[in-house]
Amino acid sequence: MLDVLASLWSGFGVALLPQNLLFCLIGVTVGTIVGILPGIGTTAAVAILLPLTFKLNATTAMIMLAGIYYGTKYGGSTTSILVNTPGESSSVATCLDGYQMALQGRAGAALGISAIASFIAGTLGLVGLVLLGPGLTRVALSFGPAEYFALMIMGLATVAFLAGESMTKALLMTAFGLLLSTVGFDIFTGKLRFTYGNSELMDGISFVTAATGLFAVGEVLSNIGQDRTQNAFSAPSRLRDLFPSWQDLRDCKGAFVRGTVVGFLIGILPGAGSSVSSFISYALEKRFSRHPEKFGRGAIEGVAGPEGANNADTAGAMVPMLSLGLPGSGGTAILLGALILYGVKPGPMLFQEHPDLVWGLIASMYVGNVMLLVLNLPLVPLFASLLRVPYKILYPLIIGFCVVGVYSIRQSQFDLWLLVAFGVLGFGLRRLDYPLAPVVLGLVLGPLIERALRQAMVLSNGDWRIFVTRPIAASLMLVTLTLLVAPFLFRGRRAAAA
Amino acid sequence: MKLADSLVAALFTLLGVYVLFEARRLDAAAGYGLGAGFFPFWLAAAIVLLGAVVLCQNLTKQKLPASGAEPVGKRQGWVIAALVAFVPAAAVAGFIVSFMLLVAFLLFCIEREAWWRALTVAGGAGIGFYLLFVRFLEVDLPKGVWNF
Repeated sequence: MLDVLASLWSGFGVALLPQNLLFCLIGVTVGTIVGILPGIGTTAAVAILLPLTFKLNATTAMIMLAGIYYGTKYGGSTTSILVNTPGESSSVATCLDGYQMALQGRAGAALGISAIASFIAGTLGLVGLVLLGPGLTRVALSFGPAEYFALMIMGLATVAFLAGESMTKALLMTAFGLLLSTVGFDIFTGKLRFTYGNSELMDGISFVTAATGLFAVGEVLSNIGQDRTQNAFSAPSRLRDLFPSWQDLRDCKGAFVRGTVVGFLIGILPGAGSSVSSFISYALEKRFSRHPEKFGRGAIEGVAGPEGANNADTAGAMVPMLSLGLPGSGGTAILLGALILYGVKPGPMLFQEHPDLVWGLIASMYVGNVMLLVLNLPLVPLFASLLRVPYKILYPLIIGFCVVGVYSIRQSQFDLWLLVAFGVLGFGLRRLDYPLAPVVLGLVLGPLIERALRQAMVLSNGDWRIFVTRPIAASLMLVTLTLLVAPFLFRGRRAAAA
Repeated sequence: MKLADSLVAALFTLLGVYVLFEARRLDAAAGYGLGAGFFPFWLAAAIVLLGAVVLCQNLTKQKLPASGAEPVGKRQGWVIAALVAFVPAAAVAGFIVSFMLLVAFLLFCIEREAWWRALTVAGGAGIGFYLLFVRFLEVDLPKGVWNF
């Protein structure tokens, strides 16, 4: 333990060097700005900005890249809250209540609580990284395909909590999202599925295209339909409305802690992804809330929990990356690639061979979190003031951002057609009260679920009992079953009581 | 809305049935485990089942809760038409020019803004997007026949 603290202390010595402080600041600032831009997600941001670090030494470069990585997580919530456009799958959960808060004139409070939750979770997550990392990594290593499959299915089961009026519709949308994820190459057999000779579909349907179309374009069309083009949002009029109140902070105490724990634990699991943690955190908040009916209608805990989770996830994802050389997400995969690019060999020996780099990086994340809070809170009024721009001016620009975000991924004209198609689909489904988040969640988790399922079946020689005979998988399956069945049981009991 | 809801549920059910048949063409089992058709087949089956449940719920319900949605208006139709026109236009005229035209159209024709205001916002938006995405972030956007 003392060794760990001594190493962390020396890490601060590295992180607080003027050059490293400067590049950490540049990293988090650029990350925040890029995170705000819809459609350019964390992975794309780190990848695009990687060449900027080529002239730096490995430690400074990693500090800057990590700053961009977690900076985008802070910035990603801004567009989710202000324009209902998740830049990353992990921000989809933030849209659900964050955007509703913005519509009610509480955009400032939502942005503020998001920054505070991100700071608390990011900082506590780093404590977890330092103290619990090695032990938890061993647990994560015991996760096989069966456990991953069970975990992902549990992630999907959380849609039961996001169902709104109809759980059946939510499950239908989940299955539809999963089905969309099967389009393209089957990585196991090399066969093409549902591409109909279109080479653009070989790589599948990008979740960014689907999410941007369903959420952003669909929202634009809905707002036009409801004749809210003059004033879609209630812009906050008083300065104090631009920040969360003490009551808001008290309401979110539990959400901060739960979001941190969920995000960190799921972040450690390679491949699980922050979308799972943010959705599980959202479901958890709804379950713990005394007013679950407020969720989806602007509950501040519905912003604090997922935002905390997706930032704690960042620290969690660093555990397998730094200690085992296993990237837990797309963003950490690029960070890992950057390490190799700088001649540093990732893996279990990294802590021994490059202590300055590892502990300097960890310490810089503490510093970066403080920078992000200082940077983001004063900017809340600026971001919230964007809502004063009349919606009829704003929505053509939102469409422009959507087009840029989608096109920048693959430079594909076909993706723009998909964007329009998903926009019209999102508009139609929204009008009929079909929840849209499960479509995106299904699309994101689909390939991971299918891969885990098929790997598990290969490992078990086709024996389905693998999902109920392994303790962790069986426990997760039991939780999933409870999540799916409980609403029907409680509904039946309520009906009987009435 | 009840009719539209039922129609959508029926469409999903039909989609599921179609995918069921398509998935059967792919192998359900491979030599070393599940085949390419297994996952889509069972997802399609779930869609058929869930779509049918939603359809039955709609048909048996007396009255659906009001969704608050208004009838689809002309403006939405025009915005969708403008987006459909924008996609091929971006390939021909480039993103920046097409985007300026799109913004000008939306503001002048749909939002009934004064022509000078529509042109100012469209020009400003085009220049802003060019500076931010093309120059600063070096994002590769459709260039069109003029390579711009």
